[in-house]
Order: sequence, then C-alpha cells, then structure tokens
Amino acid sequence: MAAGSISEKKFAECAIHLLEKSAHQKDHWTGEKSSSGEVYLQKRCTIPCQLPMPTTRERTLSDSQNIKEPVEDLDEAVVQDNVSTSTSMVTFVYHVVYNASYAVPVLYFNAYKPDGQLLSLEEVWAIVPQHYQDRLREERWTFITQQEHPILGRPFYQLHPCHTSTLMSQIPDTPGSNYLISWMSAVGPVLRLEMSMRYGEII
Amino acid sequence: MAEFQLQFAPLSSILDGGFWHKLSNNKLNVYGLDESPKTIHGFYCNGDPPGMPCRMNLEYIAFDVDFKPPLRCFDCHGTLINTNTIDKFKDCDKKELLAMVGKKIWQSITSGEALSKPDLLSQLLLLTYADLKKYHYYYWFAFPCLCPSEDFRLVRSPQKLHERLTSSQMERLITAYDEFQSHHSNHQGYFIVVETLDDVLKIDSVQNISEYLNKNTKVLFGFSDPCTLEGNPGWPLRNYLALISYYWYPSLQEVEVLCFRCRIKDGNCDISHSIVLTVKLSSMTTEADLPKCVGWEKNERQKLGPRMVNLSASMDPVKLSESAVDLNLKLMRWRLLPDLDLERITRTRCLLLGAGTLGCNVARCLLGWGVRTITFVDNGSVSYSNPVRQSLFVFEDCTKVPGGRSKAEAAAEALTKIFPGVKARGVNLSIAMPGHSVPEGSVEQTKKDVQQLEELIDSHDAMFLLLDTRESRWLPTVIGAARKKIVMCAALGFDTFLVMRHGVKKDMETDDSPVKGQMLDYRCIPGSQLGCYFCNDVVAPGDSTRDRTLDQQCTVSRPGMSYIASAQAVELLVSILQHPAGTDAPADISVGEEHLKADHCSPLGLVPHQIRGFLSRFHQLLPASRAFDKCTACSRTVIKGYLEGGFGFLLQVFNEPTYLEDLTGLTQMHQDTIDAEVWDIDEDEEFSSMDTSS
Ligand SMILES: [Zn+2]
Repeated sequence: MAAGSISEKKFAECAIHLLEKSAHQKDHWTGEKSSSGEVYLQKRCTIPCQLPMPTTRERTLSDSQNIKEPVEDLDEAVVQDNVSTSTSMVTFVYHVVYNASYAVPVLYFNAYKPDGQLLSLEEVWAIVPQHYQDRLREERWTFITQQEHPILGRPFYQLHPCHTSTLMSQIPDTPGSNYLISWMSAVGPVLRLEMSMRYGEII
Repeated sequence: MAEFQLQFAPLSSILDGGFWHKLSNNKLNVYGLDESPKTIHGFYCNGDPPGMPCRMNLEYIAFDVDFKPPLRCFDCHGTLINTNTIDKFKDCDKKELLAMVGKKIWQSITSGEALSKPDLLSQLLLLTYADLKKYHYYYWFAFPCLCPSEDFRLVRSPQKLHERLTSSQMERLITAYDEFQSHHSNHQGYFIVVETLDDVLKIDSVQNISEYLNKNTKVLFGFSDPCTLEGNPGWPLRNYLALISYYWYPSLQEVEVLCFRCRIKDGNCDISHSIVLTVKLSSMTTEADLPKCVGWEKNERQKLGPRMVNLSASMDPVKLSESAVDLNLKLMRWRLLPDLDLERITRTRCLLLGAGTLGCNVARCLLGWGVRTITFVDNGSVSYSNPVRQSLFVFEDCTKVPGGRSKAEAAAEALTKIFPGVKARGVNLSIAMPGHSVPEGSVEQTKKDVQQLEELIDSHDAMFLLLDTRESRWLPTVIGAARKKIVMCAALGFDTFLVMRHGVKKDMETDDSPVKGQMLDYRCIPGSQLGCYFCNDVVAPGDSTRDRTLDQQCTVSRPGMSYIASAQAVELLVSILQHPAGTDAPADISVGEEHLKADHCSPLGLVPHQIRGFLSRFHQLLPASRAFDKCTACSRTVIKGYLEGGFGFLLQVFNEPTYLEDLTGLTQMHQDTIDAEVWDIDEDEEFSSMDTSS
C-alpha cells in the first residue's frame, strides 16, 4: 500500500474496531451491508443549524391552503409560542465507504431540511465552520462534490478522496491507532461530524 | 402554589430525502392507485441538547416491514394515507382520519393491550399526495392524542431530577434503566420507576405495576421524553396519562411522572436534567365511542394546515444531470483554476452555422463546458455518409424521412437527448452568398432568410462559422462584425485546418488604423484590430462551386481533423470568455516560440488569433494578423454599406460578382499588382482550397 492509503481488508478491520468503540461509548455508528454485500459505516444525526436562507422557502401552497373546515377540536394543552420549533434543524446522514481506486475511505453525506429537502451545495458550504472554509480554500486538501452513491445509487455529497492519502501520510501511525478514526477526526469536523476524544483511547 | 394546566410540547416532523424516495418508489411499484392505509414507522429520541424541538423522525427505514428504530430511539407506529389526487388530499375528512387512528389507540387502552405493549400509545398519521411529475410532495402529519374530560393539571412546579435524587441515586437509576432496556429488543418508551423504602431503584414494565401499588414503595410513571423544555413534558406523555387515568383514576388522584431525558457525552449518560411532574389525573370516561382526539401538526406558518416540499432539485433526473454537469465544471475551478468564471461560459448563447462534422463536434464540446443555449443553422438533410463522421447523427436519421431528416433539427434533438438541460434549437435556413445571383422570384424569400439570420445573430452572443463553402461565410461575417458579436471560424482542408477568431472592432466610426497607444507593444495585436476570415484574401468570395471539379466541391478531410478543429474552436472561445479583456484580448505575434514562454494574464493562457494545423506534420502555428482595410467582409466600407444600405446593399453583392472588389478598392489594388504574398505566411497556400468541411 502506498503511504497514506489503506487496503480493503484493513478498512474492514478498522471499521469493526470503530463500531466496537462506538457501541462502547453509546455513539450511533452502525455497520450497513448492501444487498450485494458491500459494507459501509453509517451515522445519522439531527442538529440545530442556522442556514443562510430561511429553511422554509416561498412555497406555492395555494392548492392546499384552502382547507376550511376545522380539523379538530380546540386543544389548549399545547405549549404555546414553542420557540424551539423555529430552530432550523438539519439531519445529516454520513456514510463511510471504501474506494478501491484511491485505496482510501470516502466520506459521503447528505444533509436534509426538516421537510426532507436536500441542502444545496451552497447551503452545505454555509454550514462548514468558517476556519475550515478558509483552510479548504487555502490548502485544498479536499472539496465537496456531489456524486451518485456507489452503493445506494442516489445522489450524495462527498469529500473528494483525491488528497486523502496525502493527508493521511502526514498523520503519524502510532501503535494502536485506527486509520479510520484518525481520518474521521481530521475531516469530520468540516461537516459537523464530531468524533469524541474517547475514540482516541486504546481499548 | 396553585394548580395549573399541564401543557405538552408538540412533536415536529423531520423527514429525510430517503423517505420521499421510498414513498415515490412504493407509489410507482407497490401502491399504484391503492389509497388504503399503509403501515409506516417513525422514531423519536430523548437525548437532544437544549433548544431542540421534540422531533419525530421518518426516514428510508420507515417502510421496513421489520422496522427497528435506531439505537436508543423509540418506535412510533404510523399510518400512511397516500391520496391519488390533490383534491382528495384537500377534501378528505381530516376529523375522520384522526379519529381512525384515535380509535386504534383507544382500543389498545381499553382492551388492555397497551398495558403489555405501551408502544401502541405512540401513533402517527401521515396524509400525503405525491406529484411525481413535478416532484412536489404535499403532506400533513398528525400525532393523535386522546384527551380527558377535563385537562390534566400540575399540582406543583416541575422538579429537576437532580433536585429530587442524589447523584448516586441517579447513577443507580441509569443502571436500572439499561438493565430494563436490555430485556427488550427495541428500547421501550414507557415504563414505571419503583422506589423502595430501602432506597432501591427499579425500572419495570407498566403491566407489572400491581406488584408495587399499595406496598411500601413509591411508583413513578416514566416515559422517554423527547422534549428539552425545563417546564413541560413532551407529546408522548399524553396518551400515557390517558392510559393511566383509564385504569387507575379515581383510585389514584395524583401521580408522579418521570420525564426521562438522557444525554450522552463521551459515552457517559446524563439524566440530571430530566424532570419530575406531579399530575392531577382526570376522567377518561366518555359518552361518545371515542374521547376527544387532537394532534394535527401545525405547518411552518404555525397554522393547522398541510405542507408542501419541492424535491425536484434532488429527485428530478433532468435537474440532477444539470447539477452534475455544473459540479463537474466547478470541480475544475476548485482543483485547478480558482479564477475560472463558469457563469460567463454557461450564459454564452452560441449560434452554430453548419450542422456537419464541425457543427456536431463543436456542439458536443460546448455541452462539456456547460453552455446551455445552442442553435444550429443548416439547410441540408442527413445523408447515409454523415452518421459515421457527424457525431450527433445515427442511421435512423437518414431513413426516417425520405431524403433524410433536417440536419439542424436532428442535431438539436440529439443534443437534447444527450443533455435535457440544454436549450437546443435547429433552424432550417439557407444563407445567401456573394456572386450567387438571386433570381427575381426568390428575392422575397432571400430577404426573409437574411432577416432571420440577422435575428438569430442578434439573439446569440457567439457565432461559429462551420459552413461548407467560403462564400457562405461572408454574410454572417458581415452581420457579426456589424453587431460586434464574437465570431469563431473553423475550416478544414484535407490534412490542414484553420481555427480563428474574428477581430471585434471597438467602434465602427473610428479609423481602422491602429490607435497610437496600443502600438507600443509591438508584439501584440489588440483583439479589436485583428482580421477576419476574409482579411487575408485579395479576391472577393465568389461562386467557388461553379468552376470546380467534383473533388473540389466535396473536399474530403482526414476524419480526425474535424474533432481537432472543433475542439480548438470551442477552447479558443472559452479562452476569449475567460480573458480579462474578453474579445479585446491581444494576440501575440512575437517571433518563433517566444509567446509560448510569456506570462498568461488569463487563467486559461494564451488567446491566439489563429490556429493553423498541419496534420501531416502533427504541427500547429499560431499566426496573428491585423484587419485588412480593403477586406471584403469586415472593412469599414463594407460594414458601412451594409448598415446603411441594408438588404439592397446585400442584394447587389449577391448579384454582381465584382461589386465587392470594386467597392473595397481591391480591383484597383489588383491593377496596381500588389504582391499577394505580403498577406500570407508560408503555409498559407495549403489553405487556398480548404473551405469545405462536409
Ligand atoms: Zn476582414
């Protein structure tokens, strides 16, 4: 294996190790298997995110607005002015898939508004923390693009893998360290994917 | 303090794209026109940080027959009604739908089933209409709740769990909770917490409650609470209180409720922010067959009403292909050329005169650069020899219509098939030529054709001259120069090609002679002073097909030439568009290969005037030349004649073979025996008969 890359076998080993650690600290990573037997890691989470534009765009609901009849009796047992419902929430779906041609793992993700609308690339960029935006612009060690998911066949965003091995060859390979954990700790925060410090503990 | 009404935080629906994908698939492949209720599943969790609303998630897995909620999340049983029409969606009886699910809950309570399976208390209803043509989805959630005859009341202010329990008790509670959940395949959202006098904390199923009631123990009703508010419980408590009241009111007047909230940080559970409520129960008895049922979700305007989401951007294949094309180009910008202005290229409307080998290949290459408006002009039809060389045609285009389909239209259609996001148009049009006299009866038609060509040139930003003959390039060259459009020209010989851009003069009123300041850099010719296709010629375009042998009429070129020349023509256009000076980008005329070392001031490099290729030597030259003041196409005299004389002027040119040469002074020049070699570079001879591309 070239420096900074990883074999598929090693990827699977690291993935199993990561899943053990995830379960140990009640994180939400799961191992998924496609119908054709490919294995990938998945994590989903919903977090509050301020999007640049209002999450509810101008909608043409004229068709359905005119529902006149009362649909239920008055209900006073509801929290009024529920401030928290106005929080914009974004549901992230992260997939870690092995890419044989680059011989590195690839982070695929989608981010949805509460109504299931996919965030546009511009909106995705807007939720990348500012200092990562700056770093990505300067160092160009990765960038976000949209691809068909290699296993699911639906459009997913990905952190492009072309510089992953360069990045990983700069991270010292200490005994007991896990390639996937090191890599995800480095690139995850770009996309609000936080890896707890406890993933670094040797168990 | 006084009692006050217990108010619950409502659930907010959270969907992901996978849910809509699966719903669309099911509508197409499983449900069809079937509108009967379908089983789906949502889930909720109790670990959100403060500030988050109570959320009910529905994802791709919502349709799984053996649904399993994600780790530490709780199942919500769902009923999906997918209507076939928007009217049905609007008009169906919402009260009745809500009551349908309300009855399910009520039956599970009265039958006792919910005692052993309390997750049956957690139900949702989803009404949808999927417009799969537009990828518009109308939807409305309800989280049905059964209400008591009088609202539940709080006896005292909610108490934080850490005020009620010591940290060691909380730790034991966490252990007891984990122990309880480990006996169930899915996490249970409803349970009881038992506190014994000797400080043992236990969690057990609701159905075992009789073991603890009336003994020296304290029983709290616990539920996993998705709410993060300090003073209110979340929605799932409502039906739990209905169940509790149904079974134990009035023997129990007040109950304690643990709103169990469990945040995980670095693998450690924190439940200290959970709250304990003391609730005054109320009667669930009802004269109707169902207690009052509520629960429709408010929409984004905080009104009881449906929502609509437009998912065409992520689901419509046409939109997907458009964004994929754009992203591919953006990739080039991110990775290699941060200054690339893709917008500038995408919005350039291109007019292709000629839909032969050059036209087809130029169009494909423009698609690659993201150009979205492409119009073909050609008056020919697809013949049997075309498809192998002309990359937009297939055999069927020759046979579908007797004599073959219109080239322009077939090319436009093929382009749309390749990329539906393109605005492609084919115009079947003849281009009048100098020296090809127009018969009396055809003048009106020719006038119309000229007018149409003028309109087409006006409505585009760049024009490609990819026509068969030299003289057919004359009219568009004149109109293009008069309208100051970008004009790209490509022509093929047998194994030579010429690709060039026409100079775009700054102002027709100023003299053609170079402006003094711009002469300072003698190695460069500003774009505004560059010549056109006809500038190097000292004979006016005439009827070149008349005196030729068959070979000359139908010049054959090496098949690869068209690909090379087409690609160069498109890349040259893109280089112009990316140069800070645009069409005024100077062309380098420095000797030898010096210009190959010069600094680029455009992200894409040099913007040559001409590219002349010699395939026999696999060699290319980049000559540049100034506009010729006696040019039969772009000189001031001709442009002025066209602008002032309009069609009358053009008709004279078409009808009188020597008119152009007389007008521009070429006739005079020939008489003065000027050596034509002055205007040519060595290899130029090879181009003298290379006007044909078909
Ligand atoms: Zn000229």
